[in-house]
Amino acid sequence: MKTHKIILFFTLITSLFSCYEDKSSLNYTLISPINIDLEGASTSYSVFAYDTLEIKPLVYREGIDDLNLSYRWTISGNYITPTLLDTTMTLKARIDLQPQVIAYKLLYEVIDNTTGIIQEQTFDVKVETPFGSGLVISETEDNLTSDISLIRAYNFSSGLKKDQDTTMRNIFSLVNKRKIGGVGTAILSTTYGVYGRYMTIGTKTSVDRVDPFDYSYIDGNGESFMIDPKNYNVTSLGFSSNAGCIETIVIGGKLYTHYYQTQAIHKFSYHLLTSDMSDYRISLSTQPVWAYGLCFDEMNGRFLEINGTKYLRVINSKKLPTDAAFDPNKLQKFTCRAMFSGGNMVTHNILQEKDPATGLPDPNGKVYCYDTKQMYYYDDSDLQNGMPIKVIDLNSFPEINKALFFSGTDNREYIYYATKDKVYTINLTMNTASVDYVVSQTEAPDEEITSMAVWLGGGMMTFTDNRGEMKETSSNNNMLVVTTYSPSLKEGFVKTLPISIYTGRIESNLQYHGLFRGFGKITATTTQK
Amino acid sequence: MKNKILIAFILITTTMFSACDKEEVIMYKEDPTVYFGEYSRSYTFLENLEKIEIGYDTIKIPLQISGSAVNYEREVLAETAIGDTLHTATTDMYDIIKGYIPTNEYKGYIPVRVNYSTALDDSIYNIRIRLVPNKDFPGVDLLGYTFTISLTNKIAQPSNWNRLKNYFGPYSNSWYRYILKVTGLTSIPYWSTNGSMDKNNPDPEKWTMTLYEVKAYAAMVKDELEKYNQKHPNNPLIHEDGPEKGKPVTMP
Repeated sequence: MKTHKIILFFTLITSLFSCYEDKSSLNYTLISPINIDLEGASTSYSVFAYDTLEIKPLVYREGIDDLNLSYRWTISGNYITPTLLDTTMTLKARIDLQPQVIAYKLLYEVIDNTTGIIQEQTFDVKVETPFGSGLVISETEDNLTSDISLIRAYNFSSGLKKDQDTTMRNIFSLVNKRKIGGVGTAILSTTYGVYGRYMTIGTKTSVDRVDPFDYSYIDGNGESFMIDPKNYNVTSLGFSSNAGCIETIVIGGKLYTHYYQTQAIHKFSYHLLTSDMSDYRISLSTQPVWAYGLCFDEMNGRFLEINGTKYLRVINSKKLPTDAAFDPNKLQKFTCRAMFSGGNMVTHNILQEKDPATGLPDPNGKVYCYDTKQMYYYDDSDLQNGMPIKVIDLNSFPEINKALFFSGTDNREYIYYATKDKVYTINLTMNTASVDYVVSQTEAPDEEITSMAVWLGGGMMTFTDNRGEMKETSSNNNMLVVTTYSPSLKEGFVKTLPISIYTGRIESNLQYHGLFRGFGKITATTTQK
Repeated sequence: MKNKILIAFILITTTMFSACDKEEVIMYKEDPTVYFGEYSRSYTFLENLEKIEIGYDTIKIPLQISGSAVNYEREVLAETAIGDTLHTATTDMYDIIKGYIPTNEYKGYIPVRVNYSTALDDSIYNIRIRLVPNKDFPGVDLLGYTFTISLTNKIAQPSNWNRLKNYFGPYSNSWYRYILKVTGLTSIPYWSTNGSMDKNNPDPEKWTMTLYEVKAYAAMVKDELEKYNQKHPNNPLIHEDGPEKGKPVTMP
């Protein structure tokens, strides 16, 4: 009996450490699902970049207040970092994404805050480019940085009617989340078949290159060059699609070429050397359609031919005829104000006497137009391109010493020059000049001209024909684009001035002029084709 | 009897409560050891041309340790492997500097200063280094390595010069060295027009340079050559060796 008690006692002791049944796994509750009802709408969307996308699903969970649900709209794909677009039940967000051929993925998550359960729905979102042809301008609002804006209009874009004019401002910063680090000195949009397309933007301190298709950043400064020039003071940009297939950039007086006709590399090469290995300093250049380009060497007072990617060819003075109008290598007392193509395969080079101490135009220095030959690049065995034709004395024309900009078209014998508030037309045949446009002083007495260029893009213009009737024609090579700025209004303007195809004069009917306003100070323009 | 049961109960329960003690984890302990993580390095001044002008460069020989990181910096000492038959460098070519394993780190390095001399222009010299025990690291031979530094400034005609001569002209060691100095490159890996993208390129990872880049560098060199010759009108740049020795350098 004692033994039984001891055994029973030990059994009781050990039973203190025995297991008991765990019934916690039997505790569960059934929950209702989260419903995302698209009401028959598609899960594929197409939207222009920078437009607003709206999606309105109906979301509910039985037995749960909507306040206990939260939402996330996240977009991803095409190598972007997943980005949260919205946190409300319905989506309404601006799509700041690059246009791509492949659709982005939009993930919609509905979160039940009481349980942590998430219900998902995915959408495909294809982003299309909203940009097209038109006038591209570089504008600044603080004289320190700048931005790019696009005007698509009847005057600038094929197929647009007058009531379809649209302006997209500050596209560069919209796409690239920063301003351009300087005031634009030159801008050029170039495209060459399948080999590439670039919009090059130059300032005194920077080079930026973007895709003109969607303004996304490609490269800039040293990265735009095979060998970093370490100086990005851009004074001139040019493009020749025929003679050499090159885009040119002048930086710090040296001319660099970007050879377009290759699929291997698209950067500017080392600067061109001269054919005689002499040093040079270029300020301006011009690239005709069918001839090798020409540039002016400020250091040595001479013209140099831009011979594709080969070199800057020194024009041979020994081959000049004895009655040559001038020696293209003996222009040391001049500085170059402008270079552009005129009619009949001529390059107009506006030279002004310079201050020898500074190299800048002498305010009282005489102004001349030195005409040189343009020769087809494939048919110039005698090397006549750049050879002298004649010198035109411009000094009898009104306010010529106050001229800020010069331009001309390659289909007529006229030169246009602008002072701060007037545009004059020079009839080269008659050797006369007349004021054809005056900046209006009614709205702002301090409005002044900031740039002038001949339009070389698409679009149409209205003008008065030789019978006094209104006519329409292509604006290409027939229209001046003049930009102005009023410091008091802090507003920049773009004005289109049609040129009569009959008289070469600027259209006098102001109703046929175009006006676009609301910009900062415009310092450079280019055609977006 | 009741007392016996009570005593037995007390003994058993006391035994049960004192049966097991939680045993502390025993930490591994041994004398710390330092060793070389690699066994050799090559250094050429040809790839560091700016150091020739300075006169020296510093190589960091990687170290690793066994044992724990500690909360103070520890010294590492090294010396020349005297008597090692593979050691050919002279004492003026290098200096071994004290190394360190930083606080709370498992890796460090031994700095070795390598000095330029013209003897390196046409030869390769070996520096053999071994670690020395000290109070911070009694153990130094975990993997038994003696570290080798191969030191040189020797230049040789690149295998693709036949393709480069159309842009840089005839070869000499002195001319090639000048080209590398001007361009800042350590080589000119050009084979054909489109570089790595050329389907006929025998080694796209090696021959990466395109024709357009070669031309850009050639223009850069030509520009510098012209400036040099203008500064030395009676003493143009000449080839200092090879078949063109003594002749002025010319470019196409």
